[in-house]
Amino acid sequence: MNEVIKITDVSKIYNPEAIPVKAVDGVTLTVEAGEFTALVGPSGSGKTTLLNLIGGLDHPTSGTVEIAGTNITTMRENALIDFRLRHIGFVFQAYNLVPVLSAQENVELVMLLQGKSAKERSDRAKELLASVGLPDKLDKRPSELSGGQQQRVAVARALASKPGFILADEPTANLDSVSTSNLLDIMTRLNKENNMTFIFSTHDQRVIDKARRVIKLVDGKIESDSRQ
Amino acid sequence: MMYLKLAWRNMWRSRRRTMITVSSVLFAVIFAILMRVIAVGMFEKMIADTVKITSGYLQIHQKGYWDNKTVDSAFAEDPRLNSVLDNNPDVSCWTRKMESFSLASAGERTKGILISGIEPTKEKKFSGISGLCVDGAYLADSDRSVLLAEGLAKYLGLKAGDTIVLLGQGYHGSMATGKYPVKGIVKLGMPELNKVLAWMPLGLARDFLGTGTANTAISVIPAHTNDLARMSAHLLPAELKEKYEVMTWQEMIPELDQLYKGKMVQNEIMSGILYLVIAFGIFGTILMMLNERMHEFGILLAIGMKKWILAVTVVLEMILMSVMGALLGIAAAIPIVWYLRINPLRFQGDTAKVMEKFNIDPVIIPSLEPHHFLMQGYIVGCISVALSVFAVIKILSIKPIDAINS
Repeated sequence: MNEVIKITDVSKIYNPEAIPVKAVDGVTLTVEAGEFTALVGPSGSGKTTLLNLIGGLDHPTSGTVEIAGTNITTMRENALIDFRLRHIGFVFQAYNLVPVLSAQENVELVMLLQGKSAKERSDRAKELLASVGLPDKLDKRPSELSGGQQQRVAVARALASKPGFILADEPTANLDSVSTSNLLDIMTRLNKENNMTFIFSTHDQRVIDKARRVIKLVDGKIESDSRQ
Repeated sequence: MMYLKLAWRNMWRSRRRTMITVSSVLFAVIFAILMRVIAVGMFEKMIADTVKITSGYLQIHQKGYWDNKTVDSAFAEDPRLNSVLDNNPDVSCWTRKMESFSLASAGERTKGILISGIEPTKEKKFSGISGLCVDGAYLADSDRSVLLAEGLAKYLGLKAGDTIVLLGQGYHGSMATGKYPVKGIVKLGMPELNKVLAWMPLGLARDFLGTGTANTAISVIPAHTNDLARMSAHLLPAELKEKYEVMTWQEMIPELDQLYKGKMVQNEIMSGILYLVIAFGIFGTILMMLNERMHEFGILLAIGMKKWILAVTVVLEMILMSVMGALLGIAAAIPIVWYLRINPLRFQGDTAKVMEKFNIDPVIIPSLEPHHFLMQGYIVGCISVALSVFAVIKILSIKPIDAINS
C-alpha cells in the first residue's frame, strides 16, 4: 500500500495572539490509496479544519502535510492552486456548482483548467456523469437539478481531474435519505472499482456505516482510529 | 471560449442589476454623443462658414503680407503657382482674393467695410455665397457691380439695384474711389461679418485699388481638413516657399480657433462628469458582484482555477456589460443624430441672440463623423478596464479558505 496522505503532528490555532483556539491539535495520521475514510466527531471537533489542511486550503500553525510525497505546508498560494487541480478532488456540503454552467460544463471546467482538449473534456464529462447516474442531465443547470443530483455532479467534477483522492466535507448533510443512499452507492462503487481514495467528514450514521475506516476527532485530537 | 461563456452568463445572473448598469452606460453614452456631435457640428459649421467666406482653410500670400496687410503687399502671381495648386490632389479648389478696407457710403450713412475681390465663378464652388442671395442676383466675372452682406445693406439702407459709393486707399498711396451698382444682397450666418462684408469681381477690385494684375491672397480648400498644419508645410515646393507664405485658418483667425478649442474643453469637462457617473455605476456593480460571489470565488480557487483566470473572467464580465451599454447607446444615438441632421433645430429668442453675439449661426446641425460615436465606446471600455483593476487586485488577494467561509 502506498501513502496518499501523511500528516505529521499538525496543529492549527486560530487567533494565536488574542484568544487562541486550537482547532486541530497535534494530529498525526496517514491515509493509503483506496481507503474509504470517515472523519467523525461532534461539531467544533476540527473535522472541517483538518480537511482544509489536507486539501491545502489552509496552512497549519505547525506540523507538515504531505500529499503523494510532496510537503504542501510550505507551498505558495499559486503553487497550491495548481497542486490541488492535479491531485485533489473536492466535494462540498452545499454542492457549490457554478450556477451558470450546465452539469457537463461544470465537470468540464476542471479539465479546461488542466488544459485538456475540448473533445477529451466532453467525452470524459459525459462518461463521468453517466457513471454517477446522470447521463440525461448533461445540459441541465444546477437550479434544474435536485440536491442529490447536484451532489452527484459535484462528485463527477471532483473525479474529472483524475485526482489522487477526494475530500468530501459533509457530502450528505443536505440530502434526503434516497439521495444519500444513491450517493453512497456511487462513492463506494468508485472506491471499489477504481480504487479511488475518499476522505469525508460526516455526522451521518449511514455514511459512517459504509466507511471502512473511521477516525474520531474530539477537541482537535484523534480520539480513535478504527477500521471496520 | 468557455471563459467568455462563463463571463456572459455570469453577467445575466443578476439580471436587474445588469440592466441598471447597462442602462446607466447607455443613457450616459447617448448624452455624451449628443453633446459632442452637437457642439462639434455647430462649431464646425461656424468655422466652415467663416473660413470659406473669409480666408479659406489655407491661404497663400506674398511673404510678409500677414504682418503688414495692405494692398501694397499684393503680388503678381508666379505662373508656377497655378500648376502647383491645380496638380495637387489634396487641393479641392482654390481662388484668388483681393482684399482691402474701405469706407462705404449711401445717402446719409457711412461705414468702414471689408472689400473682398473674388472670382465669382470659382467662388461659387469655393464658398457657396451665390446660394445665400436674398435679394437681386449673384455676381458674374465681368460684372462692374458689387454684392453686399445683408447687415451692411440694411445699415446703409440699400437694396439690389441701388448704388454704393466706396472710398479707400489704393495701391502705393493712390486714391481708390468708385460708385457701383448693388447687384445682390447676401445673408451670412455670421452676424459680425454680415455687417461689414462687400464683394466685387476680382477685375473690378483690381481696377478700384489700382493693383493691375496682382492679388493679395490665394485661398485654398483642401480635400481633407483634418491635418492642415502638415498640408500647409508641404503645399508649395521649396522655390516658391522663398516668395510665398502659406497660413492655416487657425493662424489667420486665432480667436476662432481658441473659441473652438475652449468650447471643446468645456464639452470634454461635461462629458467627463457624465463618465464619472458611469464610472460610479460600474464601480458599484463591481463592489456588489465581488461581495456576492466571494464564496463562489473561493470554491473555484479550491477546485484549481488560477487567480488570474478568475480575474480575467470578472474583467471580461465588466467589459461585456459596459461595451454592451456603450454599443446600445451608440445605436440609440444614431437615429436621434440623424433626425437632427435632416431636421436642424434653430434656436430662437435670447439664446439665438447670445449665439449670434459669438458669431455662431444659431442652428443645430450635428456632426456625423463616426469617430465621435466610436470614441464613446472606446472611453467606456477604458473606464471598465481601469475600474476592473480594483476587481483584479481584490481577486489576487483572496485567500480561498476565507472566501469559502464568507
